[in-house]
Amino acid sequence: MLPELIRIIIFSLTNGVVWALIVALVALGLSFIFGLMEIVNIAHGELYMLGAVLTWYGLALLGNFWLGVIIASLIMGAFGIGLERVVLRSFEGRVADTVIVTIGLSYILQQIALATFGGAPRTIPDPLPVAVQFLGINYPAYRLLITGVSALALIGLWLFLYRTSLGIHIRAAMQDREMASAMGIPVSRVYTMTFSIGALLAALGGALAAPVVQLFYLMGLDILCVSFIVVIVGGLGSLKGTLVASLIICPLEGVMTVFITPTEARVVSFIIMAVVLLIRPRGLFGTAGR
Amino acid sequence: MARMILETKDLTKAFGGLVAVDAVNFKVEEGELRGIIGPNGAGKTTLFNLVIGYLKPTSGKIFFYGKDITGLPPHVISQMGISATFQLTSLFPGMTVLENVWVGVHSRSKRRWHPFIHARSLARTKSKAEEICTLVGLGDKMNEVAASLSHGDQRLLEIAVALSTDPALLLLDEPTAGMSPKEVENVVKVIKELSQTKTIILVEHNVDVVLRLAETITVLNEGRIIAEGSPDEISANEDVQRIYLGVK
Amino acid sequence: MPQRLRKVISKPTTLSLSIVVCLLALLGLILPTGMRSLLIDIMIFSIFAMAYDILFGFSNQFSYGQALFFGVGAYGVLLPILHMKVNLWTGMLIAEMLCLFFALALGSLAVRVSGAYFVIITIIFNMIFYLLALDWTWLTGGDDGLSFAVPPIPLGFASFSVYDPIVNYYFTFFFFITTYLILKRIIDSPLGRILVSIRENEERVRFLGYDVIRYKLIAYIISALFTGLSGALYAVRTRYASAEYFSLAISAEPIIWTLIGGAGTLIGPIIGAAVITSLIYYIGVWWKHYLIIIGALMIILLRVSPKGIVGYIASKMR
Repeated sequence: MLPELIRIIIFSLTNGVVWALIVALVALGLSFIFGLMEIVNIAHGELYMLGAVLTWYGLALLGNFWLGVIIASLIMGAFGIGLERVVLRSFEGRVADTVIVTIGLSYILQQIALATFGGAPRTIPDPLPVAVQFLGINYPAYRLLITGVSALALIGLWLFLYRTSLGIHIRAAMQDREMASAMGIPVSRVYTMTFSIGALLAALGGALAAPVVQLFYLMGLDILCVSFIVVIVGGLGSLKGTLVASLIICPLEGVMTVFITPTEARVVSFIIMAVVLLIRPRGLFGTAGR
Repeated sequence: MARMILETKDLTKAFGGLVAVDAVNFKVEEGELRGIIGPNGAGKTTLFNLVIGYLKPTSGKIFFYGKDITGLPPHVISQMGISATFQLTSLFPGMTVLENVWVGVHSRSKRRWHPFIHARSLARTKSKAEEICTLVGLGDKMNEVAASLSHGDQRLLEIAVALSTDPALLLLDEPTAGMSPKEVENVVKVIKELSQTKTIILVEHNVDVVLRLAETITVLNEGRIIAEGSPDEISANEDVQRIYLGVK
Repeated sequence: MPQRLRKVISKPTTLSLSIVVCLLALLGLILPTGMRSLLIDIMIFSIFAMAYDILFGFSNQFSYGQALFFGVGAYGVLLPILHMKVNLWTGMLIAEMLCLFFALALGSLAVRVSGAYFVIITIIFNMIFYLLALDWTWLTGGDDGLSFAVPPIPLGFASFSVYDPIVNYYFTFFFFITTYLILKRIIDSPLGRILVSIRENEERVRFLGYDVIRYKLIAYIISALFTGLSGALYAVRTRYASAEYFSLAISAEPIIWTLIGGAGTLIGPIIGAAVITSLIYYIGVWWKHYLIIIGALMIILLRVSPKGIVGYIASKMR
């Protein structure tokens, strides 16, 4: 029987890894949106929140959690298309403008959620209410399940980026926009699809996380912060970087919360982010370009 | 024997695998009007950007009046007495012609950051700025917004802005680009006048202008100096003719 | 819009300014309490707005983290008064010194980067202060905040209680006018023009011999000092401060004001602050989702007239 402290640490570490994959899903969207279109999407957390909220509605209306997850993600993906084309298109490349517009957007989305979903936090019942035993701890099986699902989604994303033509176009445009355009890549369609995928991933993250966290119309702020930390530390536009950074930061925060408050742990992460930004703005694996 | 105002020693700049400037030893004497010509990609603008501090060399050194200025930040190099115009017009679009020039003139004031400056020194700065505007031929357009000027006038303003810091060494990157023949004549006149008091290095595509103005011409090709001499010597040079074959 | 009114907003003459000042001075006496309170808030936020304009409108440094200094200003005046019973002037001085300290420390790092990285680093610094303020309830009272009794304002031999709304009004009015005069002076001075030229073409300024980083830092510090002033005044007005004073919501406010009123005009952000504060005052009371209006306004305005109302007018003037 391991000592109590060790068991707590293992539990927190596992939480951290689970969380890291969810964060990776959300942060990747942010990274590509930022890396490709220079949109600093302050409303990205709201996309995550809406994924969770729509899943709640899906569960309430259809009775099936997983169906809710799929539908929520697809709805948000479609929403992303509309958002990029109607709202964000004219501001791409101008950082200050994208911040302003997405702040406005986040206000609108938050208030819509508040008005419809309400201000009281709600929960979704555990879709897999069993516990798994390993390394001396009892760990909720659902969380391991979402690790698996997230991992599958990430692999799917990798396949998409490296094996499909649209994915290759996205990567090319991120490396060098003008060259990609000159080579006949339909850049504006690439932008739209990238944003849509980013929104879908964020919503998927929210949907998967819904049973684990409290659903609240302001739940986007926390995930936005950690996503930005991960994106900067890992490097813009780098799939590998975001994943690695996520697997470093989230478990680290998890372990730190055993000893200090979650807020203080977050402050440490922010300090790490500030240091990286000031010393090596490209991040750990950032691609060249900006 | 005049002093050496600018000297580069084995100056090299490589971008990844591409060597834009290749171990160039370039010397300019004080008071010269030096022309630099060469085909596209010869390294003229890269050499230019190295001297003004926009780029840091991969290796080699740059000396200004014997002082090592290699790798110094652009604002320090400017304060030492080097000024430049840019190939792509780089002005303050929302500000008037006079204000554009004023910025540079003011940069030589003492305690320029001080919010409360004496009216007399402000007046001095303003009149100096007006002088420069008149010198390049923009005296009647001083209150016009830079963005609304014609291309030719903008190029003139570009020269005025470069002059505003009262440099000892003035680098001009294709000052006549896109100008009408009349405008070109005006610029030639201005440059000739300036050469009386300043050392000028002129990078130009318009070979005609360079042959008329420059006392000495340096020819670059593929990052190296392939010829240097008087306009007559350069015109007669076979290597130069070969490079420019088909190119005006 | 009548020609005269246009001219007044974009290039106010001494006469028109004097009229406004006298009008404001009078309103303090004659307005009903509710509107007087509103006007006090507008003046406080106008100081915040002007401070932001120096940073964004004039030296083109877009920050999403000025609440840091707002909070420092608020707690900077609250904590010394609460724990050490200093008088109000000393409290405000301490608040300003703290702002200066943090502005120097954080600014020296922040101004080295620009664009997206600058806005992100301002968010980071802001979040660090916000999170710590939430967590260290022993210092800040966290989310619940701290109340304090504001000592009377000593002026010569007299002393005025800031609990009298009229005194509060003129106290705030004094700082409002002073801020405008100081910042206007700075903008009209060579320093101001250097900041504008940095906004117009940062690289060119560097090649003219200016150490651009130093000037950006100067703008950052000036902005921080006046932001802190507005925070201190707000704490005095509400007799309270909480961790929310550091929140990103507060950081977003000057962005919105500047957007509506127009950056780079000093007057514009004041108008923006007046419009939004009034809007929240009148509409926010009966519709709690007023933020939707503000959010939509931000998006629409940026699309239609990025320079805001005043900037739009000013550009028509040229």
